[in-house]
Amino acid sequence: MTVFSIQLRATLLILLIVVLRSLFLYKLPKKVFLGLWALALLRLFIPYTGNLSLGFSIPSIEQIWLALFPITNRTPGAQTIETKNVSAVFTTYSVPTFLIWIWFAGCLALAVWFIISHLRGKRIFRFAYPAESETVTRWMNANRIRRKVRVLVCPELSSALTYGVFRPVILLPTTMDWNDTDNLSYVLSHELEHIRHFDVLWKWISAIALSLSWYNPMVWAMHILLGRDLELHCDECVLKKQGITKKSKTEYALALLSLAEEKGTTFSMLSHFGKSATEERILSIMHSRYAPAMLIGLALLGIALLTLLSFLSFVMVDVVAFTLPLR
Amino acid sequence: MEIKLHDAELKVMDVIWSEGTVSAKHIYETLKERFGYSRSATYTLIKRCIDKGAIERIEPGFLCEALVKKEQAQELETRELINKLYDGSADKLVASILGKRDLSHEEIERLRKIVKDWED
Repeated sequence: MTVFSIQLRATLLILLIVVLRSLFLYKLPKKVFLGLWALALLRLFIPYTGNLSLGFSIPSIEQIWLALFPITNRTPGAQTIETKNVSAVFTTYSVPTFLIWIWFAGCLALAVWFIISHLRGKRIFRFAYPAESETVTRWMNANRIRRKVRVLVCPELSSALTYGVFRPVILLPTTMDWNDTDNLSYVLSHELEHIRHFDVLWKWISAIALSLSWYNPMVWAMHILLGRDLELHCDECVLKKQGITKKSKTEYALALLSLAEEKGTTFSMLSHFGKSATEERILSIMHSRYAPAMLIGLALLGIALLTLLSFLSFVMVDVVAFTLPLR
Repeated sequence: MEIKLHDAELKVMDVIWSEGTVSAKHIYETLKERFGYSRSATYTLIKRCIDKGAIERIEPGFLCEALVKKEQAQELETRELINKLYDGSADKLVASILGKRDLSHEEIERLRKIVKDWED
């Protein structure tokens, strides 16, 4: 019941976030969406739904689901219990063992997938060496954070990235133009934002959630969109530090596009459905603005409301869900 | 004979080109001091150079002799790498600056135009 409840509630929450995102992505500060994704992750990990009595009963989402899709004798895993004295039939449900094995196999497969790709990365990072660039040294001195950050150059890398939580490392590709001070600054600042917000940790937590809930397509959506929103959030923070102006937005967006060009382009005959992640980023950058306090207040209120709805049910506990007809 | 080596492999070659035929152990010590490379990393690089025909292994003592001159060796472009690391995809637990999919020229130009024509 708990897993069913968690998955049901998480699914609806994620669905709502996806809808909100498609409507308001460019209008709200990205922290709002990260707050929502944090809520979704909490909902997936915390096996608790509280009860709040309001004086009247609102059917819980679980009840609505069971009303729409009742468990009958024919549902695999359902067991009917007939009692002797009363003519009532109880149906209980427990997940059939073979499904549990399939779930476990899926978890294992995903865990292996993540771990292998992590190890593949580490094999390549072995050959990284310290960057010898005045621009880098100057930038490092101007941007100190509590943790020690190393900036290395790594062959076989096609674009900059960062890894590591306690001793973060920024890896730059060898194709980096060391004379392009502006681009280099943007790249380093962007990666530093990832480090500041512990984005790598977010990704690991999301990966664990996905490994456990792989059968739920909405959790896949969450994993992918969370990755995108972490990027958008970093972009926003880089701009904020410079001051959000048309000039800074244009420069940053063009810098990203020139980096994408340096990375390598493909010749593509395919048309693409929907916005690519990069298009979303460019549009998000150009739409960046300072949000009015009212809007932020409303967003926080919305998140608080969603938290309550996700973690509480409002069924009155003393209302019996079924009645026993007595002879 | 032209050989293409990537950045780290060239660092191994640099040691041999500047100091002549040296032992693998010496290469490891030099690279460790200069770049902090681990033992396995250095020996992997040496093996790759041998496989590519850039170094010949001479026994006893695992000596490394350069089979190509510095002028003949070219740096491998990122485009040509098989092992190229695609960052920013759903399975990568790293935070990158660019996404996995390479964009086409048309897409980049189209996005550039959007940026330049932007009306706030």
